[in-house]
Amino acid sequence: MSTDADSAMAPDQTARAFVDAVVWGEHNRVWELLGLEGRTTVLKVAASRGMDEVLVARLRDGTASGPEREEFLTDLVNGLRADLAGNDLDALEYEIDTAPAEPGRSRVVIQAPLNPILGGFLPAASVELSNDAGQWKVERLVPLTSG
Amino acid sequence: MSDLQGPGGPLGGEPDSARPLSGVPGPPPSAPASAFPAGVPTQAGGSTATETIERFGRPMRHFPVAVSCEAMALAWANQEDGPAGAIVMVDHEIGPRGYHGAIWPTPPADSLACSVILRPALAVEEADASWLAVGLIALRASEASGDHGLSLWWPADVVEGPERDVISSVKAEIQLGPGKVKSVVATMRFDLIKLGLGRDGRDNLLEQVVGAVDQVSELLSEGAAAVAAAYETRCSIVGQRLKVKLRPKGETRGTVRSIDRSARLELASPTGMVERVGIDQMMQLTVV
Repeated sequence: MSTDADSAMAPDQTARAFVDAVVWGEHNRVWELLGLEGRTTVLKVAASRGMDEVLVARLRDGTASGPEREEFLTDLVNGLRADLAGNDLDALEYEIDTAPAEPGRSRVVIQAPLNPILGGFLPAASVELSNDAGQWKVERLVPLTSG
Repeated sequence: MSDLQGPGGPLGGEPDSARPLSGVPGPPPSAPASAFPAGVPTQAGGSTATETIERFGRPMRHFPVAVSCEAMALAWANQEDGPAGAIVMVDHEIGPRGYHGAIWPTPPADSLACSVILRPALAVEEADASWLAVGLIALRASEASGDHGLSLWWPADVVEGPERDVISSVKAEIQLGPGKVKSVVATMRFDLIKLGLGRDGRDNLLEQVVGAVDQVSELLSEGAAAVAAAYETRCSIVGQRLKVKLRPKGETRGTVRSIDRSARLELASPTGMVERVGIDQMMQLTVV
């Protein structure tokens, strides 16, 4: 379910909301913010790792039972957390990539601050988004550093 | 196990300081002077028997100096089949390490350091409930010495007031047997000054510990769930919003909903996702 606030969000705000939802374990919110392509990719990965095809279909169609959905989304959140591991998640900066993108697509670069002695930022991840009926949705989270 | 009480050890100093405490015999007249402080195990053949006395109605060993009360109690429990309720007290611990190896910062003169051997009837999967039991013992003993507004701070501290000043730290060293807990060495360290007892209050507090062990042992006999419920009601971490760094890596965040019978912290997210953090998984905990 989307909120009115979602429709007004810029790509960088959507990326921030997505990462915050991952960090705080807001599993339903993570799923809400994922676009169709993102959800398909996630389910494909789950199927490739042995998830039952019938369950994959139920999750895709939104007919999975509560516990099934909870377990899947918990695993998804933990996987995304692993992608972001090693970064100071309270100090991330979000910046829209100004390079030309396809219409209805955007890319946000997430940067983590370096040690104050060194200064500056290090790219931590990028988020690819698509505009779905006026709302930005996350299609991909590409980790650049993790550890 | 060795227990050398010989005079002239590096921490023994003057012969007077090596004189045994009440009920703790010194070395036999012919015993050679030891190069080790009392309580430090040496190679076989160089030891004297450890004296067990009875205090507060239970067996007790008292060492002026030892590596730690936990080490001495573990040896008693494992090598000599020390009975449930047996107590080890050490005046000066060389390595007073607690949860995840944290050093107890209070000087020995201002501390009570003791270990109690427990033999609870717990299943292996509930073994960590022993941590909760030890926390409850430390809390009840501290509270018996006066009203300090104390609470438990998962997993190993008794704290005072909103500043969460640490009054006592605990550790549970669990030995497992086939399908069940074989023994638990419950180690507690108290700050006598913060408890308002002063250096002379050690004996009184030890007596309160003994009473609290009896109370909590009764609770343990009702099962791990009863211990967890009792712990949760006194644990000020419940309801807090936390950031938890995990071992070996990663972190999780959420609001503490409860503590389960395996002593795991149950963190709930705003959308209802529940994660459980075990005692061994926790590296650092921050209230946010």
